[in-house]
Amino acid sequence: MKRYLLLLIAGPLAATTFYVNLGGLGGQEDYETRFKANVEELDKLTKAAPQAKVFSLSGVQASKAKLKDTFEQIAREAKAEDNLVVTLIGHGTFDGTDYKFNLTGPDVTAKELAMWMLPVLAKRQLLVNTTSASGGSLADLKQDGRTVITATKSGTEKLSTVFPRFWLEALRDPQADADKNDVISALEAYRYAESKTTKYYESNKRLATEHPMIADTASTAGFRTPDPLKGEAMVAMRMPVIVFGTLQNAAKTPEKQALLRQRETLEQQIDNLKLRKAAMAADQYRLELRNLLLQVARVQQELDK
Amino acid sequence: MMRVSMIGIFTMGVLLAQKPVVKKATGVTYDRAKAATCWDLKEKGETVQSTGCFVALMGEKSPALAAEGTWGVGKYAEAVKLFEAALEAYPDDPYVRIRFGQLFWSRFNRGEAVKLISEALEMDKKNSTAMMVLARILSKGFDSKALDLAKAAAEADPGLVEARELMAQLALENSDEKAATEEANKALSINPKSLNAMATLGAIELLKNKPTDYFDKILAINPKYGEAWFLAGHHFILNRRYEEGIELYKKAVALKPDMWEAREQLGINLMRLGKPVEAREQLELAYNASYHSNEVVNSLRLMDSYKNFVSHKFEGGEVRLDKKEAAILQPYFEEEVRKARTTFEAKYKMKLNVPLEVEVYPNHDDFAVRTLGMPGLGATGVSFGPVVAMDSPSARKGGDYHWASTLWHELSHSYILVMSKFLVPRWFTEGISVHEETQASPEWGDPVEPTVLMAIKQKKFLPVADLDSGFVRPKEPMQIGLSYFQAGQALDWIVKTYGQDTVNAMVHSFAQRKTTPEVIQEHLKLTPTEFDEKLMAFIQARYGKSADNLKELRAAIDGTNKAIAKKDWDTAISEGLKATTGYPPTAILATAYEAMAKAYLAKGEKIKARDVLRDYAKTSGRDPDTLKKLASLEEEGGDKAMAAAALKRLIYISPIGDEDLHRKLGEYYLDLKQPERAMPAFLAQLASKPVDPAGAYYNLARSYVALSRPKEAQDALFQSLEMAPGFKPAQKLLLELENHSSKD
Repeated sequence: MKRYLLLLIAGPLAATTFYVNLGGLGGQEDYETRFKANVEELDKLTKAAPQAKVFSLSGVQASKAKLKDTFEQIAREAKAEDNLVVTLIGHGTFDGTDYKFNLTGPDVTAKELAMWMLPVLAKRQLLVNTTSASGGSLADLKQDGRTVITATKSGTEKLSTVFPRFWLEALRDPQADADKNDVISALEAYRYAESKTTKYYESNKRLATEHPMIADTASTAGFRTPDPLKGEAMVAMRMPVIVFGTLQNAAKTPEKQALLRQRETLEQQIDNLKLRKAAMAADQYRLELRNLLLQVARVQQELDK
Repeated sequence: MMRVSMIGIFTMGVLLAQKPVVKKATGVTYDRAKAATCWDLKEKGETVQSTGCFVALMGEKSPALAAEGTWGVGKYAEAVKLFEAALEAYPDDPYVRIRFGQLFWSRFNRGEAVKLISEALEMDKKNSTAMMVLARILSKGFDSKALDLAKAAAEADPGLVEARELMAQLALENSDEKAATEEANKALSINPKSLNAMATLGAIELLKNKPTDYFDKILAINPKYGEAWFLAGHHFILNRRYEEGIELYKKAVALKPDMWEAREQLGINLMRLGKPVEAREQLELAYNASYHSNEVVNSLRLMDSYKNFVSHKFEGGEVRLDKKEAAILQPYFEEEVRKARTTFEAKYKMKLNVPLEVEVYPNHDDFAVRTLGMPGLGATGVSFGPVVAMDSPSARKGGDYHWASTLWHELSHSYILVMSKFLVPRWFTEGISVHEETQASPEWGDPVEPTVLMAIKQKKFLPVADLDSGFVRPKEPMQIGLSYFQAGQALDWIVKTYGQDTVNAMVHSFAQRKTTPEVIQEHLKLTPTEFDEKLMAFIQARYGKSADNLKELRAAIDGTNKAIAKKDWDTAISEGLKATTGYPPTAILATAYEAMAKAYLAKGEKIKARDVLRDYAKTSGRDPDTLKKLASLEEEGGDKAMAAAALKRLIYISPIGDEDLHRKLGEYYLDLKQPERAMPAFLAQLASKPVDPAGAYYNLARSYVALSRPKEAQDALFQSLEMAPGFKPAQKLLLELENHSSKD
């Protein structure tokens, strides 16, 4: 399921991805150190991505006013074909009505964040809220076309989270690129981090105090383990978080762009074949799959020359 | 965690007869003889007559008698209400409380039963009936207070035959045949028709494989007294002679089909021996007759969950695993069962003519129910002869439990129990099993805990002649762990001093019903006292230095940890070296090794950190993250074989829910050109719901290619590319396979 690739090679490779990496107030030395280190790592990872414009704020720099300024700047610069990726690392609280992300000085609410992101024209937006109680922000932040990922299912899961650790791991681990197309999508990164978070609690025999969620339409309540074959998280599947350099290099010449299109067509045929799998005889499916896979492999050989 | 195994614990309760005792007591308020008549009829199996008798009681004005009647016809809720009315009517009669307590006990409410009978004892401190009823309840939980109460009852009422009967049974449970015989004979001197005393004497003879006429005598008096066979069956089960115990239970229910407790125990023991269909039949009979004991209910619930298990059979064995983890565990369990079978058959010079069956439970309470019918068991494994039940590694926190060590421990029991015809004393078979854990690998087994070191210093061990009591009736909780340690050391010493053949010869002597002192004298040429002295000297030589310097050891480890907190790396290392140099491996050293490794890493001395962690692993260090650190240091040092060895340890400790472990291990094995090991590792990764299934299938395909299994390689590649059609390495391998097959 990789129908977004044509979009990526047709336009977004020339488009800019705006990354806002925000580290909140730690309150204790341990947390301060951890949040700062996480934002530093995120800064490094996102700056290495092609066409990236990165805004990393943490510690005393991460004030509400500064954050608002940052979104205003992005709103001025971003175009419709651009991407916006916002990541919150820190502590969050939820009072039953409002989610707040803890910052130096006044905290910022989920409603305010949603309001600041609204003027940003970038059609593909992702907000990753990795804090405690982050599930409390989901209702205010979700909107059609925007993928929202939270570390907890509700505002009542108030303990410190391990989700951010695995989210960062997803952005640097090639394994997270499950379909091996050199793009880690929001859905792939989410699945990676969600799976690792769940296994963390299971293997430590601890009661899970966080249950990550993903939502990418205004109407959905969010999914824990979305299934795109059921039409779930289709927007998240097309939302690139990190694009590796190889994809960018592949599209340099018209000949290679033609080959990429040929590959894309074949991959779409594979997707269609998979949708028909249940209605087909196993041998017939296997034969058709084999033929298509061989064709894709041969096109790739040409691309790699 | 102290790993404790067990072989056959059992409960009894049918001897808690419901019949009221016709004795004088303080404040007698109603004609209890009337009720006793009905219960006598019921005990004799005269169902029609007893029912009529109980129905007549229901019409009595006395609420206590009416309660007995409703209880007798099985209307328990109404009986409770009537007993409550009786308590109001006869507030000073302790006997009402006793009978009310017995009703609760018969309906599996131990708490209320104990409370009411204790209240009766408060009202009448010398009430021998109350003492006896309470003694019987406590005896079911192997509570040592049961014997004290029975003795007190016998003193209070020297003519109380039930007290002598119970004392005889308790003595036999404790393998004290002499005392059991004496008490049974005392009971018979009080009442020559004491059926339970005769049953105890008959059981003693049956246990010795001698013919007995006691059961004929019992049945001549009461042809339907199934309790006699039940009692005998109970003692066979306690002695781990399950097959024979089951046959005796079958005799019991044949005589008395409505003896539900016997059906309960028959069902549980059939389940123990891996006969779930027959077990379910018995348990359902009990359940459908409203015998809803915790054991029956729990066992039936467990059986319902068997649909979640899959069985894998292979030559000489079978493993039954939860579906969710079967794909991960099956290859490793099969490998260990096969190895253990080969090893033990050579070592013990015997062959089992049945497969070794291993059941693995991801939920510890399921394992406990499988074993006892009840949750709350501290053990991690249990052997019922060739059938072994045990915790899955997923039942415990990663690092707390070494499943392979437990498996070898239990499989050793499987051989020794059969080899000794189930007559080996507990200390000896446990000793062999503990010994075998470290023979399979010196890194396995439980490292010696500080409590054991303190016990060495305080010389808190039992004489070998009495070592069984440390397992069966420990005087304090830690005595069980100490007894395992002592028994394991004893076998280490015997094997080292006399050789394995002597151990085998000792097992054969036990099979001939020889006692521990006799066997020690015959094969080791020592008295038990001399044996104890030599064993203590052996333990002292091994662990004396650690035991004598435990305070200093702890101070050094404490110093290491404090230095780490202050980032004073040099002090951490010097204190750590103080704690570890020259001392034998014990559990407390793990912290010191971990701290030293941290300090060396902070100083950038990776090779030293690696060497320290190698020592950590050799001394049974089992923290998963620390062992992974060792693997990465080995890899950085360019030694993938050692990296793989470091990770392989985790397969025995924490293999569930860790896809990275299996992936890394598989990758190491592929690099080491060991595809036969890589293949199960990648299968385990796939079973762990990996974040990168396309990558896992690709690696599996590489393993199959290396194993010259092209068809399976192609299948795995299709799986990979179906998910990730653009996965270049998989595409390349697919083209290679196609080119290769077109050339063929």
